Amino acid sequence: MNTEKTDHKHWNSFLLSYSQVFFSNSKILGSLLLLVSFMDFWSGFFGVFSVLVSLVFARQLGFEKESTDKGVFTYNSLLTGLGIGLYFQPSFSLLLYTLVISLLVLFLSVGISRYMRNYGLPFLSIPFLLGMWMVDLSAHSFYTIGLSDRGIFLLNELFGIGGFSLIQFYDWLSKFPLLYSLEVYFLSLGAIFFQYQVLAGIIIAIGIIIHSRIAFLLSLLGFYAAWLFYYFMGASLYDLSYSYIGFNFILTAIALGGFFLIPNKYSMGWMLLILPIVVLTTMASMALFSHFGIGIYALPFNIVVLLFLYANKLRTKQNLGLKEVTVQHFSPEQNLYYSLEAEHRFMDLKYFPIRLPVQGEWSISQAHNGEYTHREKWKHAWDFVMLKSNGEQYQDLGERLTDYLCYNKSIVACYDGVVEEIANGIEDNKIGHQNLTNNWGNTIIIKHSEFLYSKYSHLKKNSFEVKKGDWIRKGQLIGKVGNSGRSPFPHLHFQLQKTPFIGSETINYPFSSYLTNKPESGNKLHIYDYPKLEDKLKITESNELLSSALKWDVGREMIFEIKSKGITKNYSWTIESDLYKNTYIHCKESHSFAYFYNDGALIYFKNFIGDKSSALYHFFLAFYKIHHSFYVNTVLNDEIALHLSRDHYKNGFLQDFIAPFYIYRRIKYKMKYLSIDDELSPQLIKLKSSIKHYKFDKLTHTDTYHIQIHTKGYIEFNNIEKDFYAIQNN
Amino acid sequence: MMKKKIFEKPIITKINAGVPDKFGMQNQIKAITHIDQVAIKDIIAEYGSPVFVISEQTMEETYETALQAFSTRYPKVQFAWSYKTNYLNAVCRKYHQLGSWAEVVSGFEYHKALSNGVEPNKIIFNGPDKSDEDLLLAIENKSLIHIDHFEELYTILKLANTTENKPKVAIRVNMDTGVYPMWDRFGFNYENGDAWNAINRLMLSKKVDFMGLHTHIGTYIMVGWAYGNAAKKLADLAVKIEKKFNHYIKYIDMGGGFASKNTLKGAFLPGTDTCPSFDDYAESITNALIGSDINPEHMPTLFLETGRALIDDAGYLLGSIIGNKRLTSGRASTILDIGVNILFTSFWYDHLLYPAEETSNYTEDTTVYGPLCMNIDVIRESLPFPNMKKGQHVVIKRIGAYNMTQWMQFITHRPAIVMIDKEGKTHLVRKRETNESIVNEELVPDYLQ
Repeated sequence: MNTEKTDHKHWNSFLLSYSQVFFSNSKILGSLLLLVSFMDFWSGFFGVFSVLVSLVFARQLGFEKESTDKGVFTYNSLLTGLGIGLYFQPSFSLLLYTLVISLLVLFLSVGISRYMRNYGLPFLSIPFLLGMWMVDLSAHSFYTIGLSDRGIFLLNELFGIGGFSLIQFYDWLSKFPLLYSLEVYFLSLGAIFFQYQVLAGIIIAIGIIIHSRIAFLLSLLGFYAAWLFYYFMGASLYDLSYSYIGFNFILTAIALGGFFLIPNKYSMGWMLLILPIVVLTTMASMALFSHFGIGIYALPFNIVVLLFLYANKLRTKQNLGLKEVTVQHFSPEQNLYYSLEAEHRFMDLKYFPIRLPVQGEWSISQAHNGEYTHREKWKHAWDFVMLKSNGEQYQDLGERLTDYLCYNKSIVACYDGVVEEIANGIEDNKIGHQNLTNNWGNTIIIKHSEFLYSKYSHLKKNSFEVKKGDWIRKGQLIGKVGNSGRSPFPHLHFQLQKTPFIGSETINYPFSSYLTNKPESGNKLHIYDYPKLEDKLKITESNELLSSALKWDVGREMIFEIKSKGITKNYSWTIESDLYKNTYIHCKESHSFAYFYNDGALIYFKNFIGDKSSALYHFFLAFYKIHHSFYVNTVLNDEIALHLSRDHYKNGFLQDFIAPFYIYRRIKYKMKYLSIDDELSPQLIKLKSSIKHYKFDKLTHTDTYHIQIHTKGYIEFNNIEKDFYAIQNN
Repeated sequence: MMKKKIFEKPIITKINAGVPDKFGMQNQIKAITHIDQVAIKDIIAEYGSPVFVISEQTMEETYETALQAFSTRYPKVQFAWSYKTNYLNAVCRKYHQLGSWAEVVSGFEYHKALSNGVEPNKIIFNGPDKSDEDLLLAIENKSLIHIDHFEELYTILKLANTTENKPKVAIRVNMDTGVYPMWDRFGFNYENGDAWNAINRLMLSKKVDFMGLHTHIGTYIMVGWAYGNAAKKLADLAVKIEKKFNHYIKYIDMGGGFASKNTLKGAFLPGTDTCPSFDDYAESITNALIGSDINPEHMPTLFLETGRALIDDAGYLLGSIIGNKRLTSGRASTILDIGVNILFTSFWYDHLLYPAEETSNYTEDTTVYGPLCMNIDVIRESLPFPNMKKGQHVVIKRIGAYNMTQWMQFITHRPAIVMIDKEGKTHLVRKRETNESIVNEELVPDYLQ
């Protein structure tokens, strides 16, 4: 069992070494590339040899495991091995030579990768370049290694494969520019694997389409952008078709157009400008390097991609156009869909889950960009007051401070932290009066992190329950609402800021969750949202039963009995976490992983990897987003990234092609809190989640999950349409 | 044209002046002519005299004030309407609509709550007298049962064997809160260990869901801190339960007993000045709970069963002058059509009586009698009151609590009850009794037919 598993892992790393060349971790693409590499047997053979050598050494020497597993350290050796196999006559001494070079390239990969990480840049194929140059410069000193003449004489090759008719066909092809250019495109693709054959290129192209539609589109874009530049500038197209350099354009386009940058109209547009630069670099470096007797290989690609990525990082305005991929998913589609999703979803990840600084129902008398004082540098602040149902803030005549409902009410810390500053000793103003000398009045500032402070102002004199330097917990009582400073009537001024001073500039920062209530529409649950003027809001209380159902602590095992299509089976899932503290549910049976985020109150799934017909996938959809409070008829809305849908391959194939420009498919998620049997000691909670698929804003189909939470938090959920029933056993 | 002035019989009284204020010696009683913009004479014209009036507006406002006092200080607050205070269906339903659960103390009230559409799991069943049938029904309905004594505790444990449902119980606890007399006749005592004993028996039996702790320290408690003391002791019990049984109770029920603004008989100062506000009670209770050792992650819901303080101000009793009589001592007296049989609380409070129309500036110490042919029928022994004529109307304020449940059918019919809604429309919520409504329940043996 164990050896089987490791074998499986080695095989994976081996295949991934191939697909990494195209920035992919698709095993299908890897297999196709392996196949292609053997179109020249010895080239393929030495490629395999190099990969194996580097893999074994990388593992035995104990280089970073994850990179080794993903083939990141070995794809450069592969390329070097392929090149050696093609250029030289196979022999035992060549094998020894390859072993040495492979090791060198492995060390270069490890070393350069670490070095480039300092700059947040990839190391691309620099190790391969250096390795190949070593080969170019050193090989002729070794007498036992002889050059091969394969690959040099194209027509000979063609004759060898298809006889005279193939040569005629080849000549005929050359007469049609479009077909001719396509041919060169395929040749260039093949050249990446040192296979200068149209067939190799076609197979690789198919592999790329399977892996990523956007990457394929980019490969064409890059190639033709360069081609047109050649054409308009009057450069020799023959050069392009004859030498191996065309792949530089293709790889540059894939790397910059969709892999390291989010594929969109900007990234694609930039390719039209970048490719001429690559052409220029190619021409220049060819002229230069011919003096040294070494090839340029992927040099232009490396130079331009690194330069452009680095320059992009140095832009001070990052919000426009080009967006760097922050978490690499090794697929332009996934990078794109994630980034679209991230715009409204993962923004929340960077926030601390802060709560309202008050208890009970309060109202916002001045919100962000308020009409009185929340302006300019201080525009992201809220004023909290309490209202009676008739909308008034006070009882009786409102002449005394104590007439105001909010006066002397508790203020609690919005999050854990340390008391940074307290200003005390300022008397409350009489109603209608303001103290402009001590603008903020009695104030407390709490430090939550180096760059997050919360500030509470206009407190009652001597009402502080904590002192400077105290460690305090979220929800802890810190003081009472007063009317000190620039405050004509009692209220709490609350703001978040990056710096620790009274009077610091405010920052736009949301509350993790709160409830608003409107008579006409009832309760509304807000997640990472910003209260608006006149919102009546209160904190969300966790529901005991829901909380126990959602207690997905690392190490917990959940056993589900799944009934589907007449078969009943038990599945055991465990909650695990990885090195980067990502938590996920792992189903061993189906090799599936459902990654989720948990802020203590809100859980949502971020990613699913594995078998989309598995029960875990159903679970992933059903609980895509859920909050542990229960308020009848509240809803949570979200959107599911397209590639995470069940039949993305079938339904999203065309979408992928145009995704950088236009998204016509949408998958909307909605969790509805239906009913609870007993609010005090709930035994049964009913929820419903629906996943709606839209095409051009037209609903195409809906997946509905009915969810019940039973005593002890056991979960039952089903999708009747899919004949899927699950019930938790432990 | 000038309105003709009302003739007043001239009297001679000795000057009995107190300290004049800056307005001089004015001691005119301001008339109450309207309730929520509805003229009192119109109400009496339509529904007769006497008549009870309930203001929905005041009910809502008081409820909101009470809820706000607690919910702004404590995260989880739940009111339960004390049925015995006023179990008119219209009143109960209004409180349920506002979010109140039901607190009942008998099978009758329990069924009344059910018929008012209260979900059974939102009924708190209190009181010393719960029959086995009532208990069984409450268990099966998953209502909350507050155990009053050991006999009841044993009955529940016995009944638990006969039903599928685990009884959801709390115990009522009495304790020394610093105000006396101590109400030790209800529930289990804290100081002598009965309460802890009862908790242990219940927890160890494993036959019940131990939901919470309840106390009701007395009635018309005029100090907030007594509740703070009670809450502290209940919180201590909660912490002990947490430690010993690793069990978090779901709620702490502080009962009721909050004073309204009425003036108790024998009180030196008027209730409006001396009775604590909801804020005072809330401050004491919530401070005690928040400051306790209860795990902040598992703060129990705070239940309140206040009745009187919620409804008293919303109730008015309208009546008419039947006659005036000067007593042999020379003291003025007046006879109303309101008797102690329908104003039960006149035994407790010095009720405020107001004319329903403008009167003269002169008041005289007057004894106010009811219409019953019984010597005890005295509404007020003495209060300054203007001279009013037969047929003129009077208003008694703050009578919403207890009168509409503890009243007696005696000598005559009980009056109608009217509710004024928030739009100022009147609704009859209980009809004036008729001879039939009383006689219908009677049976005559054959030989007397």
